[in-house]
Amino acid sequence: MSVLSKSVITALFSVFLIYSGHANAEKAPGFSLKGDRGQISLQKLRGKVVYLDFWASWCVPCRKSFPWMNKMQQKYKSKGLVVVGINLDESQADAKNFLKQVPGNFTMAYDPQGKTPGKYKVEVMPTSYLIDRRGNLVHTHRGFKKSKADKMEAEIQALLSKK
Amino acid sequence: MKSIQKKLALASCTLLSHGLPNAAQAAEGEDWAVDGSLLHYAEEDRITVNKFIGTLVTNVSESDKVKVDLVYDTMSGSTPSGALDSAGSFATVSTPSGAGGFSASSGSTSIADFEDTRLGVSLDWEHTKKRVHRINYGSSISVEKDFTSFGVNTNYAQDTSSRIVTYSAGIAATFDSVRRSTGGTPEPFTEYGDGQSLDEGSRVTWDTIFGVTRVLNRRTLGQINFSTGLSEGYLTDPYKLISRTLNLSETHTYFEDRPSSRQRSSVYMSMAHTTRHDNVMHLSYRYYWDDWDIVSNTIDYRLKFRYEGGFFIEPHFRYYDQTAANFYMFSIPQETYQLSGFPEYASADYRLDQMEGTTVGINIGKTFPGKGKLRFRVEQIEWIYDNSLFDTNKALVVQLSYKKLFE
Amino acid sequence: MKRIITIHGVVLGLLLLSGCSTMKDFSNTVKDSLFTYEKVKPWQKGELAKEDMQLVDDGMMTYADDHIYFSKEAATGGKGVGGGGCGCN
Repeated sequence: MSVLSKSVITALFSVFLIYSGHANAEKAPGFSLKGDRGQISLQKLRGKVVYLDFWASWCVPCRKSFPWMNKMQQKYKSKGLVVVGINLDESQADAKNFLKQVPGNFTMAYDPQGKTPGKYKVEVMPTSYLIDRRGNLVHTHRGFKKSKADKMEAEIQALLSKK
Repeated sequence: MKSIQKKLALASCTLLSHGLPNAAQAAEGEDWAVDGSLLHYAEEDRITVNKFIGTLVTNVSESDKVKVDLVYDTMSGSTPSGALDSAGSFATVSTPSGAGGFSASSGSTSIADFEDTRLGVSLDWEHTKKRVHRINYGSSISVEKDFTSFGVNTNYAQDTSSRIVTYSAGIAATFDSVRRSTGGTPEPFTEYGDGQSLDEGSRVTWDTIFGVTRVLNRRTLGQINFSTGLSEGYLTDPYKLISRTLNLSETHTYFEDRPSSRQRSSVYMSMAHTTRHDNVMHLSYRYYWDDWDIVSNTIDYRLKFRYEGGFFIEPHFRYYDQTAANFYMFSIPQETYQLSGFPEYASADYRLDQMEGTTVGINIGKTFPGKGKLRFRVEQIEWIYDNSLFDTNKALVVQLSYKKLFE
Repeated sequence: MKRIITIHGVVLGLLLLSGCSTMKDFSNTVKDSLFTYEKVKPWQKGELAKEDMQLVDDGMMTYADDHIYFSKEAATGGKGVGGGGCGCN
């Protein structure tokens, strides 16, 4: 396949993803939560593509999702991806213990009172959301399955290529 | 001598309490979990059983879980046969050696020696669809000298989208083949020692169960199950005897006879609760009844105290009672026999007598988070019988188990 | 039916009390468990997610018990498969 054909296919696929994303164009609910170094606010992340993940220390699939999220953050940081993990443990000690065993090399926010997941209508743990540069909530992923990782990565790429 | 009840329940055992892996038994992240256990069960002056149990659970895919169980038992000792002697107590009739498993040396038919080993294997597959539907297929096989059993079961469970409620329904079928270790089954109500032998006995048992599990609050989970089952075929114990005492010097001892059908039902309620002191309490109650007129209550209570480093101590208490089967009798009354011969059915098997049983135990162990769990328990069981030759039966249970998780 | 207050009965009492050092503890436990109803959100399942909170939290011991009691008692079965847990994925 020539380079030109490959580019055309990628472009068409991205356009498809962009338009399928637009079908869901609603603003992602705002939040301002305590992080490891100061407040984390969604408003301040406007212009970036945000992968927002709700997790807890007792959520077993989260152990598998963290290495993947670390990989995504590292790979696409320069292109403008910000991975934000919102921890929902009632006790911060539990979260810290988890992070000692399973490191999270992305932005951490803590919501022990669980105010944010309600706004996002979280139905299952974990749930992740992809928010575009304009603050629209484009994709929702319930649970974490390794088999869906490639599809999610393509979605990230598509949103990163949009202005 | 093994009780028929044990075998009758093989299907229930597989389907209902063990055949189905719970979501957390091999926690979703771990790919493999292996659990091994050694159990020693010893009754005061009677049977001793040693069991080795091994379980392997693995996630073969993101939506499929497979479980394999292996059980190896060795049993030895002696057990009451139901027979009496002339004075209404231990029989001293000398027995033909080797017949029916009785020991000629003991010179008694009230107590019978036996020895046996058993091997059981079961296989289970759980498939999850669209997150909330779980379907389970299981099969099991058990083989020993005088008993073979084969069972299949299937169970369907569905969670509500909020995962607060789970509805489940299951069905199991078990096929058993029963015989004496010397072959065949005895003709009922023939005299012991006459050696009348019939073919091997077989039976089929169907069991169904419907249940609802509900999250009551952040620290409590409750469940209620309704089950019903039907067994048809040879339900008699081919070793058990019943006596008829004429006078101080004459006793006749016969092989027992039970109905060829048994319909049973139960309601089971169970709860897991974390207390304000962070201890975990498990409480359950079962009400059981069948068409042999046995009605039973079972209460089981455990309280787990958890400590730093994953250590725990868990005391356990269980109370059980049952009424007698409608054909249970201590012996065949001479007056009845003179009037109308043998009753339709009769058994002197103490397991069908009116009884109470209490268990007290303690379980201690250590959980290695993400890696495994080691536990050791000791239990003491005591059964008290209302109308049997032996008033009580005491047993000691010791069990050591170790579970290891692999990524 | 003979009702004998055996040593077991005494131990039962001690067990129940050990979990509840006062009457207030006992009534709290009853209230907290059976008479408190919450629509638990998916992110509030930290306690329920613990292995100890499964209805059958140790399959190995449940299996052994079931076999022991099946062979010595007339009543059988009843337990089923449960829900609960963390409800993850």
